[in-house]
Amino acid sequence: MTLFNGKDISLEELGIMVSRSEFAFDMLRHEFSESYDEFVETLYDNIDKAIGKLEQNPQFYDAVGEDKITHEIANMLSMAGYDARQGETSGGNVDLTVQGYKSAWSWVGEAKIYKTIVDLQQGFLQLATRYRNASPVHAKAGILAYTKRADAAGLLKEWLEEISKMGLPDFSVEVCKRRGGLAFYSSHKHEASGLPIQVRHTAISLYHLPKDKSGLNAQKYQAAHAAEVAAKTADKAR
Amino acid sequence: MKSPQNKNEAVQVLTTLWAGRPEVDVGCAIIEYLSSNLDARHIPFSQFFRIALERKLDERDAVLNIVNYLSGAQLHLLAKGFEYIEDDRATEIDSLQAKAAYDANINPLTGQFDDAVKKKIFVYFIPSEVAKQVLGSAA
Repeated sequence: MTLFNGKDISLEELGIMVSRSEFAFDMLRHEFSESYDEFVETLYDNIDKAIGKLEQNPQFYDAVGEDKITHEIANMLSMAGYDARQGETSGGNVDLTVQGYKSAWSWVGEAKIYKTIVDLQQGFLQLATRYRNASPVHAKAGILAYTKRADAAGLLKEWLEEISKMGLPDFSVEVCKRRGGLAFYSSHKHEASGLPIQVRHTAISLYHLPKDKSGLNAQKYQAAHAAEVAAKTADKAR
Repeated sequence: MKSPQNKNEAVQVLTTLWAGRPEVDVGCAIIEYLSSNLDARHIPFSQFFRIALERKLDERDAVLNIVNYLSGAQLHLLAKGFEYIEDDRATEIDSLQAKAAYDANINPLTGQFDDAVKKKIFVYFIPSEVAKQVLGSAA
């Protein structure tokens, strides 16, 4: 490791160094955020980086509940410079609350294992009507849908169709370019404040059901196969 | 999780989060340094690499990660400052000026385009107000 013999580290050098860092990659963006929107944009990059790490090893989350998965995301966000907490009180127990250090900016997320559409419906309603009041310093929120079923993009599309039918006032949808078919933004008029609230709906693909011979014979995967069939049947029956 | 009230609690939060990683040793060393230098008015970034090397912690990424973490929202023991240095003369600049230099090569003194400006701006740290309260409190 170079000691930078008596020489300080310039902004240019620091920018290059942190860009390759595992958790400090947004150090300068954190410092330079001037608005709530910039705070949230940087946060979404950090959330996506954390999600990417989970998705690299879905086998670790086969038998893991939503709290434990959210705990991993919260830890990675805290390591990246946020104060990310689980179970904070804000009209109810919020799954994930994230704050930066520069102001009162905050973001909340509701995490659900996407077994059926009803799970997400409940999460979304909690987020939009119980926890989050739209205001200039916390008008954005997120749904983290952990999909252990196949075809995460297809499941998210089904959810988009469902939410579009909910009759929310001033409802609109926007594609999330950052995560392609695995995320979208919705916006609607918040019941309490009358201001728009934006929710980012993100599918986290944790499906792991190997089709090779040993995978098909393994008892734990047989149970998962059965669960997947049951979930599909439940969605069709709605 | 409740916010730490003293140095032991701050160390506990850090060691729990980063358990099993080199950031624990580097972070504890920096907290120790800060506790003894709560009135410091200018800590260059290179000082944290020096602290790590003095303890034979040859971990560049761990230093970056932990300095980012300690200046982040969870513990926020470090506050950042920026200075423009040219011809051995240092001028304090604010975060907005540093941002304009970083994003758009705007020289903070002249307001003009300067393609070398990022080489003339340096980040430094001071113990934050939180650090003075938390690390200055008896366990």
